[in-house]
Amino acid sequence: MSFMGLFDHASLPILIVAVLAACNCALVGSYLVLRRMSLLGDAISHGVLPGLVIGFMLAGNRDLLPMLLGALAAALGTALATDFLKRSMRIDGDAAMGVVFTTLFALGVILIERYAAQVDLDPSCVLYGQVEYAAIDRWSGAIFGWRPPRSAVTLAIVFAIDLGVIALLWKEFLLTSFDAPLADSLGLRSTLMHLLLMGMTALTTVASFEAVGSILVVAMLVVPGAIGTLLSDRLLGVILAAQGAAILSAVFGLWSAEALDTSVSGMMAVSAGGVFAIAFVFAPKHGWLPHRLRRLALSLRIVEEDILGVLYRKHEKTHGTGDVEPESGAPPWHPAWLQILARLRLRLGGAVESFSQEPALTERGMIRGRRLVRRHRLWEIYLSDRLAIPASHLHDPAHRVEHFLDEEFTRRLEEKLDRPERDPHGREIPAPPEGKAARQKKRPPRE
Amino acid sequence: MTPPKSTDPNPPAIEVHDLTVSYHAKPVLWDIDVEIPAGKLVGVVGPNGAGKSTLLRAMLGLVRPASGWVRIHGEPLKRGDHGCGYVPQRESVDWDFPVSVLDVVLMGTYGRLGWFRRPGKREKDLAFHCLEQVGIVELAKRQISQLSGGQQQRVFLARALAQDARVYLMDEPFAGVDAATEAAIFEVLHELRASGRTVVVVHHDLQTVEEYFDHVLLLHLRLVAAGPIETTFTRENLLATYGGRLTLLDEAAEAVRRGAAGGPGWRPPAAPKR
Repeated sequence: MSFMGLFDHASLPILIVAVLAACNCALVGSYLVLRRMSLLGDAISHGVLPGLVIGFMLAGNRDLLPMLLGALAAALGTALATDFLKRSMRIDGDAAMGVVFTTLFALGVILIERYAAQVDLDPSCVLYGQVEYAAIDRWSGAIFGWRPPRSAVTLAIVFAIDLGVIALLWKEFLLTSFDAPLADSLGLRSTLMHLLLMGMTALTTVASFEAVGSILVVAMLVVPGAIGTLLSDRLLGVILAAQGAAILSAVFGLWSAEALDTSVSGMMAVSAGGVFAIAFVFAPKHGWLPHRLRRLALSLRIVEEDILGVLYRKHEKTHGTGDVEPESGAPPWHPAWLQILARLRLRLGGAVESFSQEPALTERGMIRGRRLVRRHRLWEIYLSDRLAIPASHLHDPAHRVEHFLDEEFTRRLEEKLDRPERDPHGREIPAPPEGKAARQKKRPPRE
Repeated sequence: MTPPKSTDPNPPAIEVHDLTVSYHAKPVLWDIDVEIPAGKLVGVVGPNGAGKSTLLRAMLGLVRPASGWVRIHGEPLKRGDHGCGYVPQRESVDWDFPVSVLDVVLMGTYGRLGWFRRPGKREKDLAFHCLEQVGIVELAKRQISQLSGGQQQRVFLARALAQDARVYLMDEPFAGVDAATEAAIFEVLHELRASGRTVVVVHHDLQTVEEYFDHVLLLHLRLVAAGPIETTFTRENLLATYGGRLTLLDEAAEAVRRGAAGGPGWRPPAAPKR
């Protein structure tokens, strides 16, 4: 099927239901993940099943209200029973949750098998949902002459309720999620907010259940929220990113399910996992790859500076007034490929004259080298004066730290040490580079 | 227990009356009876597990005492903003939470705003002012996970300042901070005292107690001594606080816990009056 085929008459209702269900779960799920309660979301989404079935049995039809009330009661029961077991101190939180929701879920499956299988519900529908059915089961009303799927209407209403509650209680959710004791001391009761979130989770779960099944509900409660925390450092950003991830997973899941002729909710959950993997690797700030690249950039800068340090000391030895032999440069422990890359960058950046083993320094390279050696020797004085470290042990620590001190810090260091002229080995402290060239290249090393 | 109405026209900042607090039926604070005068810097000192944090939490109304009561400026504790600024221990929150420094400081204004109302321009101005006071206004937009330990502590202090309370309760604000932060916090404490606020600080470093505080409260499961530094922070009292295990008290607490194991809802009676 072509991608645009998703928007034709037969597929559009399914797409709408899938997207709405995913967004719904992702919305409350973002809060569950941030409150480190994602597992409780799982527990509730399973624990509601017997309530759902009992509601259905009492009403005798698939009206939403009785099923909803039953599910809410079961959700609250799950949350409270878990809490009670946890507080008994004999059972830890995860185990308590596991005991409660697996029992309730199994009970729900048995109830369906025994009393409701002939009618409309069946256990596999609980796991996988029946999103294809949504296309047939239309709402009795119409919007601009178009009859949306019944479950889409339900999901839209629930989404509006969740959005409304979160918008109204934005700061209450924020504070109770971040610092519940402070909220309590301010009279914004955290237990109340906790129960409210549990209620919203139950409501969302029930509304999504019928269409997409429990596998997808569990996935969508956790995965988009986790993606959101990888992508943003603000609460609103996390929520929006989670919504984006949910939509992406729904669209791609539906498309690939139709292409492969397999379960829609299964493919949506797999897609969510795929989106998570991509975010995990590529997320600009917290992703694996940017992290590696930042490490690489740091290593490269250190190697560059070490090369400049060696060249500057060589220059000092041949041209300098110093009567004491300069210290040796950094130990050559850097991998060869990094050294080649660093030398290339030095050449391209105009710090050295040529791309040879021991090139001459340009004025720019001279300034960088001088700064480095200056930092190195000042730090040696600091270690020797203030930390009483013997002269033979100064060199290596200074080699490590010299790459991380910026110019401002170095100036303060020099002042604190009363502007010394020689380091503990008797070597001259190079004066800070001044003049035009220094001003042109006024970029302190990054931390 | 609801405390009786105060008849004193000029009540002390904090009154703690016969307070006993238990966790899982085991008493961790026994019969604390103390009055803290207004406008003082008060250090709470005692060994690990002495119940210092629990005392603060009881003063905030965060734990339900097994017996006894607390009054703040003559008013009984009730749910709601009763005017205590709170600085919890730094590790008590998740510093990876996706909020900015300003967001956290704004939380101090939530009590006055009450339910539903959002912080507006006035609250933001106040938050910036508080950040200035603790010297980190330039970090306002920073995400909190990027802060150093000292900066985190200053954020908490700024948040408490935004509460604009008469009484401040701080749980180890000096723990694990750099020297500059320690000085900055100390200065803020002095400003608070100068404006007539009462500040109660759980403190670990015995070396600095005399320098930092006017009053001291020596705590080890029970109140060992309380009063002005000069008369209270004595060698004898310190020995009573830190030296020697309270074997009998421990045994009694254990007995209460064992006895209560039969019924989790049961709360131990207060120990008889001294």
